[in-house]
Amino acid sequence: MSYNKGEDEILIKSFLSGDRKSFDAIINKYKNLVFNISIKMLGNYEEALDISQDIFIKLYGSLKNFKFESQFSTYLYRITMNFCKNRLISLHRRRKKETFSLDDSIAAESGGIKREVKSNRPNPRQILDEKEYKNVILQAVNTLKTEYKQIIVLKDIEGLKYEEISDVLNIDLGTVRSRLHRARCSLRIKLEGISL
Amino acid sequence: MNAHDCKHIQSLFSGYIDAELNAQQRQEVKEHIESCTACKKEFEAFNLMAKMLHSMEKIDAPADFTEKVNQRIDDKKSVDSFLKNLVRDQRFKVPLTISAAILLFVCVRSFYPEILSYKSDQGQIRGVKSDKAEIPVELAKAKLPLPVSDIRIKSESDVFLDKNVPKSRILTEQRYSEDEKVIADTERKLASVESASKMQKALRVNGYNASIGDSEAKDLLLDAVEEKINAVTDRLYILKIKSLNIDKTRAEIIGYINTAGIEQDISLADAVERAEEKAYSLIISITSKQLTDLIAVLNQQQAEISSIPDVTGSSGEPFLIRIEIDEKK
Repeated sequence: MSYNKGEDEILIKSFLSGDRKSFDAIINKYKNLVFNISIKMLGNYEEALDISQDIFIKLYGSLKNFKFESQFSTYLYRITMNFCKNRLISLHRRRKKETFSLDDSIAAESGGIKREVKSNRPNPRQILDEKEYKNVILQAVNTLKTEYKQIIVLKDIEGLKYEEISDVLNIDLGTVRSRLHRARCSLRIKLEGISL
Repeated sequence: MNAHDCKHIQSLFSGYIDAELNAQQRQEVKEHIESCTACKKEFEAFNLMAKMLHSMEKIDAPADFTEKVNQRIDDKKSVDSFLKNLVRDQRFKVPLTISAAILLFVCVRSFYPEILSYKSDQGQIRGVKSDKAEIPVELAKAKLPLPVSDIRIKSESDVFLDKNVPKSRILTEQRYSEDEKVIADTERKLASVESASKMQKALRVNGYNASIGDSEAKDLLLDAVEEKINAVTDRLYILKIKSLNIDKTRAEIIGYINTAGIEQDISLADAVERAEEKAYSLIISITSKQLTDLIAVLNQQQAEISSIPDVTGSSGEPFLIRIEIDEKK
């Protein structure tokens, strides 16, 4: 995925020289990109909307530090990934407190009641239509660990090149290669038995 | 076709669909999947998954997105300019300086309890005893008030001797300042939780329903402590890598000579070299010890907070202060 580098540079310089309208143009150009990555990373519309706004507010203050050494889109991907990663950590902490062990029985007058839960895993040997299949994939992506989720979103959904991913995540090319392979295998295992 | 072949071929699938393999490897995969049904099936599933991911529908951000962002930027700006004016206003200069000094003291006290407890000869940090007997004497001698902050790295390239350390774990100035932000943030949260707790206690004994429950306050406090533990554990990990290069000026290095117990009658170059080594290991060992101790204190704090029972009634002595309640109440 490539964005017009020259246009970005003009917009950023114009914004830095005091033209607020140029910042609006930057938001309008990139809001869908940031929002879509955030949705895939966080798996929640409201959280994604909130964090996308946070990202542009951060950008408003930090654009003066952008050195034009890399593409602006790479810089924005990096900020987005960092924000999503941090939000996932804090969401995880919040949820950890709210969850209970499935082995804890529910206290009742007649003694403990065993919890019975429906598994989230898709039924084995399911045949789905394309839309359903994509939904199942997104659910599965959402259960991946953060570093796998990041690389799947950047490569398979956003279509970034290996070199760009290496820049965004600050990892070397070999790591991109191996992590991507592990992430895809992990996702494949989660989708075992499901087909179109 | 043996299982080993299949495993090897499947490990190439990812590179194959990204056209990252060389001609020989591509041929190998092609030939294999033509003759092995299981691998062919697996390859098709792998390929389909990648295709589906690549064709995911995009969702448009809401129409008022840009407007909302601008609104939040403007809100933030007005708060910032209020604070700026406050700082510039001569009448507030003295009180603000005093507040800043108190804040700084609180931050230092909570993160480096051993130093202050050593100097002030008190073993109490936030109600948790710290074992002052174990504080290294060199620490006081060396006058290293905040050893971690003495470590300054110029760039990633000149930091690590060990190539195996992942780049993402290298302590850079940027990461260091991010770390500092986490700590400042935690401090702020802790302060607000403490005051929220006091506030709600005051409200409760005065017979009002508090807006923040005991268990909620406790949860927030636990959360803050946990964040602190995570922040400290991260630093400890980084120190444990032990490949840090300490960027020190010569003058500062020589400053360590006395404290590190090196004899004076050696050449300056030798002294600097030896002092560097000593200072390095001293800082690593002291800081590791400090951080380990700090984690222990924090864990204990966490256990103590967890053991506080949730009080819901209004028992005990009435609080001496009365809070003015909003009329809407």
